[in-house]
Amino acid sequence: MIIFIAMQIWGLIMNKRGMTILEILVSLVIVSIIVLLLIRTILALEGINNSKDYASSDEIGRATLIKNIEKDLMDKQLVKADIQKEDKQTKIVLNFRDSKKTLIVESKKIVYDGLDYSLESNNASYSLDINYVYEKLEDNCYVINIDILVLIGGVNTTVNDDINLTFMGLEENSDNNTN
Amino acid sequence: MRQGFALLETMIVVTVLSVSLLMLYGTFTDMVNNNKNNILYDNVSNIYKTYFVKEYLELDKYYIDSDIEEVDCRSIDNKCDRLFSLYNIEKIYITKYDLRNVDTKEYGAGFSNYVKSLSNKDSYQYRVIVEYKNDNIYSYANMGFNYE
Repeated sequence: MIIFIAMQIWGLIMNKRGMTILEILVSLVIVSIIVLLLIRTILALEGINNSKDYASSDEIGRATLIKNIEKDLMDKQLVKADIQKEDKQTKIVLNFRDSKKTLIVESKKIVYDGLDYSLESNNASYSLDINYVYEKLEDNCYVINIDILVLIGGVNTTVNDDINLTFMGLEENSDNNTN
Repeated sequence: MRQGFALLETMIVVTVLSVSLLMLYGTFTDMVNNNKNNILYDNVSNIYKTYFVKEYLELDKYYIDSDIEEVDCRSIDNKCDRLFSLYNIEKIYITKYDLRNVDTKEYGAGFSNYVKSLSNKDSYQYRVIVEYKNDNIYSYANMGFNYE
């Protein structure tokens, strides 16, 4: 529409009147090609935006889960973790100084403290093989690392998507052995 | 009576549309790159690791003479090495809190870009910045502190 108006104005300025059918047809064809390309780009962008929404939602879920668990690890002082792998889930029993809590890892969600943290991205899932490290450091310190891998299409593509839990504490006695 | 078709009008319209699309593409690319960087900067897991690194190595007692100083493991009684390996740490820096006017080019493009993204809203004197490396991807996290 804008093109037609622009051409009309241009014609008036140049003392030309009207447009031939050929001009209109060629303009229509060119505009149609551009609009089709635009529509393709917009559809692709919409797809990317939807994926990004799911990924953002998963990122927020990940941050919330890690924050909630780490708060407990630090407040209650994690001593060790026991990993119990079952058929469709893995249980991580967190042994604190005075209590225990269980983290349940399933393929599409993690359950902790009565809350579900589900993955919204279609091709994302949690691995049921948990990486657990208990390491003694100097000065009677110990470090516990628990890594829950996130798989994209069955492959762990980046560590930055994984659920990495870590805690550093002081040993009270020598019975806190590795798992 | 006007004959034929003016190429000039079409070229002007195509040029205007192309410039608009290019500007849109440029903005979109910037947004995507910023989002990628946000994932690598101050990842929540790395923030907790940075906290424990700072506490274990007692970095709030590691005094610096310049704006940015890389922590030398050998000066911390061999505590670092095992921790570096466990947490996939590449480097640890102690810096002034406000790095807006500090030249960081000599520390690498990754570090420089991270420093540019830092906010200065808190009232700490110094920061510990930890550079992590996983699968050849560098990520960063920082924690402010004051000397005791």
